[in-house]
Amino acid sequence: MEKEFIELINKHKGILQKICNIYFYRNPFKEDYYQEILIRLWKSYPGFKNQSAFSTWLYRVALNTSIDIIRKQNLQPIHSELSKIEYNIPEHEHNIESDRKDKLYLAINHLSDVEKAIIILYLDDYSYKEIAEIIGISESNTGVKINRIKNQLIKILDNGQN
Amino acid sequence: MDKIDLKSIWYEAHTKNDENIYNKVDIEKTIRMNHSKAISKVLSDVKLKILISLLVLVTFIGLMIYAFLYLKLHLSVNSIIPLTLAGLFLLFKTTSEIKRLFILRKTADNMSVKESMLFFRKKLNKIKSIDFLIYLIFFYLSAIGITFCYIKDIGGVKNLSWSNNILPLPLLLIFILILLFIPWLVRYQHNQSYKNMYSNLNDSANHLNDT
Repeated sequence: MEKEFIELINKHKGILQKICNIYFYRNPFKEDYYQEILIRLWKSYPGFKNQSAFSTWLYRVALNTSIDIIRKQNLQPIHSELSKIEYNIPEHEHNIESDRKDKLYLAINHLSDVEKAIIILYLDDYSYKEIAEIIGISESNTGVKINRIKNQLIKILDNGQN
Repeated sequence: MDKIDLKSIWYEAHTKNDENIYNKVDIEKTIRMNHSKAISKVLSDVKLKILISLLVLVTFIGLMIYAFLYLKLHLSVNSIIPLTLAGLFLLFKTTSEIKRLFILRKTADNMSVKESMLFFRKKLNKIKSIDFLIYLIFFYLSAIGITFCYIKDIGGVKNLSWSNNILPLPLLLIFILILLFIPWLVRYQHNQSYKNMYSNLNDSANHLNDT
């Protein structure tokens, strides 16, 4: 089971990296939270019943874990005590080449945790049905929310460019 | 730019993976861990706090039992009240740390995002209700017990002294009122401590409501 899980994770690594980049954008504990997501995926893996695609299940667990970590962050004051050196945090993550990417990440950062989940799935070409399934809302509601979030993002990006 | 194509920026951003921090992570080694470094540190710290609080509480209770039951010590009310308050504080501190650990460990990852959020909110409210109920039963029974002892003069309650005088009734009433007030104070404290968490959950619920 472990070997199979590692293979699947390696295959879908990109999903986890996208989620971490969005939810923990410029967060000094990004790598640590990535590990926590991996651990919780492994713990939840026995609950994966092949009823949906592995990537759909992976998205569901990883999004729930990320939202959960953020929700509980105010109960974890100790984080600030862990040294930056210990975590080898680069002083400047910003790269000019990735300007557009940074702008998009910054714009997504303005959204709520749930909106972030919806937009990641939309941008990753998931169908409304799949998004509705992962988030737990109706398909029609998904459509409405995606349009609203898209407009919000475009507005933020437009304002940033002006 | 008139029309921004979000998807093209997204694809552009993820075609070249310049994030190598994830490649350093050994998946096999990681999944053998209980939690990541930062989360483990948080949990260990909470556990340590629980352990210290429990040790102090047990020592305190032990000393009180030894003093009042074994040595049959008779103290005045102005000595009993600070001791009672100290005991209550220790009890409160221990239970709130246990509650914090319980909340930190509660997860529901296999559900949909909405179900997970609702599940967590339900659990948080359940913890609050159980906590409130325990304090309510404990302190209301204590208040009834003290009142009964005073009326029936069991254990010489009426003769307890306050600064060399007999315990005045208003002082006893104030003490009983404090006891009756504690469960509500605990509930208020819970709401304050988890204010951000509640606001995050309510915010998520609002975003997930049908339009």
